[in-house]
Amino acid sequence: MARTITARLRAAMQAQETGEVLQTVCEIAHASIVDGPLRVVSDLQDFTSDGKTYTAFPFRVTLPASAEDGRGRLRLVLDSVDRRVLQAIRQIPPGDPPTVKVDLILASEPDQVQISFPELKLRNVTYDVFTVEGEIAVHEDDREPAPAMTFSPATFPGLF
Amino acid sequence: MPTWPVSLPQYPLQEGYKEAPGANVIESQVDAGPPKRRRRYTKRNDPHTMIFELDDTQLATFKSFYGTTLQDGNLSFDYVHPAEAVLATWQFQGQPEYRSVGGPLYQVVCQLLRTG
Repeated sequence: MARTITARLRAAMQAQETGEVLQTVCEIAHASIVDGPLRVVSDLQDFTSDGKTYTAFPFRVTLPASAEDGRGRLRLVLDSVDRRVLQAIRQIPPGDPPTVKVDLILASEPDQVQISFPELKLRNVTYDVFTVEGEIAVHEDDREPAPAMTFSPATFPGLF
Repeated sequence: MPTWPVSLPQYPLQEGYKEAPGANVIESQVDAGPPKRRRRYTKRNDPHTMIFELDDTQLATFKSFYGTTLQDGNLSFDYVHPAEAVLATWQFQGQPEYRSVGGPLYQVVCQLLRTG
């Protein structure tokens, strides 16, 4: 997670009241998504940052707390009343999750990313009539168990 | 985008007209003192209540506009703001209500959301 918090955001965070708007933008990328990555912003109008246009779209990201133990996990909930997001997610083959990037940007400083959560993977996707939601986490190979399986009476009882 | 039909009244009745700024504040409660608050969105959607007085023919036009053109109110439309005289984009919030005021006259109560 990268942080480059500007003085303006720091002042807005510390103020009791502010007119600053902190935009949450999300980019979902995968080779099977037609017409390039999905770029959405949780706002009521489109938002342009660093030459990229993010479409106004209702979604919610639960950000991880800064903790000493464990890795942070984020939860992404997208509105699915408009079926385009669900169709894009369904095109993605299993075992090849899309890459998700979540950035926090001040609307008054649109080209400055304040806090970034890059190179996340979207997993455990579930959906219903109204929402598509999934877990997004950093892919860390060094946290995978090695070896992946062991021969034990529980897993291979015929050997014992 | 569909446009408010020219055969319908372009101004609502003064009585019953209401508008308000949409909610655009997000607050966080703190242990002491007033809550921290900031603007949530860069744009605001403002709710309005407008009442139009229509005759039989206009009522039929309105029903066709709402049901067919706007797909039962699901689509947005353009309409000149009656107070500001600027073209704006609107959505229906809920269903319009029709009531008879005597003879061939009806009043249509519309809950509208100005989105642009």
